[in-house]
Amino acid sequence: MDFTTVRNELLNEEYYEINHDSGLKIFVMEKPDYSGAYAIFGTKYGSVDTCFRLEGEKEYTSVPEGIAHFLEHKLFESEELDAFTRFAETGANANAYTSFDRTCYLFQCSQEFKKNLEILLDFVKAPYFTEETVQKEQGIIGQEIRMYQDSPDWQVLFNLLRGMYSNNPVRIDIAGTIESIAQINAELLYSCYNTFYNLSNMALAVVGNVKKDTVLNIVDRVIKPEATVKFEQIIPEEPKAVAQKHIEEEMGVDMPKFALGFKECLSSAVPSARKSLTVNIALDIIGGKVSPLYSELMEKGLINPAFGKEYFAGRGFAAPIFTGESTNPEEVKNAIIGKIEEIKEKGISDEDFNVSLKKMYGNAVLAFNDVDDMANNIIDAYFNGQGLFDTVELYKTITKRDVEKAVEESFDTENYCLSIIK
Amino acid sequence: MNIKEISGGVRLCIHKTAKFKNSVITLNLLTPLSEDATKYALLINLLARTNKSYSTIMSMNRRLASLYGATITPSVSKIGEVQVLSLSLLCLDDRFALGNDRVWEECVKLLCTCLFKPDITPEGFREENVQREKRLLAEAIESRKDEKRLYAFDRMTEEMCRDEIYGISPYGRAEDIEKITGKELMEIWKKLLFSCPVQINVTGNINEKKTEKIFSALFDSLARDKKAVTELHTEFLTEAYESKTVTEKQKVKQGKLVIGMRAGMTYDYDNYAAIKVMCAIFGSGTFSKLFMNVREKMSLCYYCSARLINSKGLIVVESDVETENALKALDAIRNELDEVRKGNFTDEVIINAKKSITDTFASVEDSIVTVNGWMTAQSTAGIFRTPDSFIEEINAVSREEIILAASMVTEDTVFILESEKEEE
Repeated sequence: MDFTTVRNELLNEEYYEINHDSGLKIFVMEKPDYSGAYAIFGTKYGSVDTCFRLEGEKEYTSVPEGIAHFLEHKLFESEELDAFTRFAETGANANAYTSFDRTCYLFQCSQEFKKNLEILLDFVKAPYFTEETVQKEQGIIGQEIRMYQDSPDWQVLFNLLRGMYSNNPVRIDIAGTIESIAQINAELLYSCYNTFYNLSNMALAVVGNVKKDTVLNIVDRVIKPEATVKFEQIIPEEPKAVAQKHIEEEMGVDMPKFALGFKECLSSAVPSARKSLTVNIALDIIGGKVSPLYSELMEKGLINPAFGKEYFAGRGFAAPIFTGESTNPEEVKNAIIGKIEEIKEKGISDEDFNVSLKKMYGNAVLAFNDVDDMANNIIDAYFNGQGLFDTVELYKTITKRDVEKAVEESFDTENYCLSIIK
Repeated sequence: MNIKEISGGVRLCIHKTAKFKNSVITLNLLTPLSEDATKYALLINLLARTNKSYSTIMSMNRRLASLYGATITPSVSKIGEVQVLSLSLLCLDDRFALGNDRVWEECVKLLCTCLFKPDITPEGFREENVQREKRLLAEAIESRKDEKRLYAFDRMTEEMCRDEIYGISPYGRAEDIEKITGKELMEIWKKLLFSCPVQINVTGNINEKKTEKIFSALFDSLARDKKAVTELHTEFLTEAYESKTVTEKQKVKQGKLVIGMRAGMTYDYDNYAAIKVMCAIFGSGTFSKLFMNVREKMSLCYYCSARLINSKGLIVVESDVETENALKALDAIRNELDEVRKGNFTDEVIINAKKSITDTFASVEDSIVTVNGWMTAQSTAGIFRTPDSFIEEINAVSREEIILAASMVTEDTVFILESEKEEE
């Protein structure tokens, strides 16, 4: 086992990065002035992983949509006491989530940390699926799917993804559909589990009032070394152009919602930290609260404080997107595109660049307040091939020219999709 | 947490800590919930958006951005029958500013400008600003209706407390917006400054003396009369007079079921610990009866949980459920409450419930958001209590007290949002 200390002077923060003998990557950030701790145990496996091949196998395995999320639900069960019951005994707040490219299990507690970490590691590494329990879960997840179907904010985003992508599974709802989850059985769950829940594909991050050695002692005891499972995750080839430029759905909402995305073609699997940061600054300059566009749209009555933006990116997909509520989404879209064209033509002013840079730096520091944010960000950064402090460090070297380049590269005003919920 | 009365009706709560990289100041203005709720909701947004020094949205937003992306966020909520209007500043701690920027002082100045120096003329708030805020408030009210979980909760509360002040929404009513004028807004702003109880929450690596001095001076300069400070009061109904069911149909995929109950309380912390533990066993957390049985065993819903609103003595159960299963779920929920009343729960579950509650209390100070939320929740309480002070009481609750607390609960209103099938 070896470890390194990763330190950042500006933030006065540090954490340990440990290569455990079992093959598991572990991160520990000791924060003695907090009363509680947060631990997250995750795998680089999410809803987009619907097709894979184990090393040495000829055939690709295709699995039903929504299986990663289904697996997440099922892992809480075991032959004896289920994980929720075990966590109930300690009072910890335990949960899990599945995103497009990862599945994570977590708890937050202020008492009995050791016992909680033991439960977390143990239940994630002890799958137990039977046909009977699979069936029961189909009812619960069916209700979860329906709940999201009634959420206009969720629908406007997933419609946008369906509009932008033709083949990439990011276009499919993370939980799958009532039909797709009906095809899930115990055997398929084991097949996915044995492929993706290999320690070499996972990581553990702990932040809070704990010691590195405490964490390592528990890992030593609970986690057994595993042979590395090698596999290939297949993401279908995706055309450059969006599938649809306009997608609209009637939900009978009182306040129409929209999402506007600019599809990007990625040269690497995940955008680099530098790329993400420059696109985020570009988004702020184009339509952030500081921008003339924001004020203009606000005064014209076209947007409200729900207007926002994000760089939606993960393994195999990337798109800067704007979301919000408007009585006239078309006009908002035209104004945004007009602004992007203007920046491409005239460039960015020094003042605009400096104001946004300062603001984004402040926002980046904000992520170092809560133990859950810090642990989640460590896992995120690691799965994206980055370090926790990369973004904060980058502020020193980003130039206006970098951001102008990001506008040119990531905002193709011909290749957009506008999703509207009415 | 350091609590102090600094001026007539102004309470300052400071939690000094160096562990966060930001600090927060929340100005909570407390006013009785009334027919004027819409005006107040509009006013607080207006105050946060622009002011005398930064009179346009862009100049204000650029000022905030240049202070390392500081934010000043308006919000409204209700605690019992009190409308809480908040202006919340979040800013970077000076230690992390680049160069020698003095972020904190500048941010406090800006926050105070928002509250004390709005952009007004002798005729009131400027018409264009009032018009913009009217639109934004109307849209926010509409938008809240589109989130069905919130909608069902709001509708249940409205139906249950139809004859009580609590039935008034703190977010305002769409139909009351149009007639509001800039002049009226100026008048209620003045009234608030002179007579409403105020609680200022401060968390972060700040200078306590300096902070106290700034806010004492500001409120002292208003010459507030301690005797004129508005009194706050919440009416408690200890039991439901009759149980009613309200059903509504909408074009939704999934129905919602919300049940409002009276917990038998006569004031906000009346028998609080026992009711809190009872409510946890009944329906908060994964060990609870609602989670274990209605969700896990019966597989009827994705969520089914109960929570205590102690500021009004209510227990509210919320669930998502297919319309054809709504009555089945309702029966199951009633049955689980009966089980608690009969004492059909293990000693382990009592321990689980207590640990879950105390674990949450013990980590309140780990997040700037939860510290601030805790302080605000205490703003209407006569005596400010810290999270720690509840832990002992929670741990002392006995099985008999839990059963007794459950026996005091009466069901008041059931609200069912049904999904209207396409073919109908």
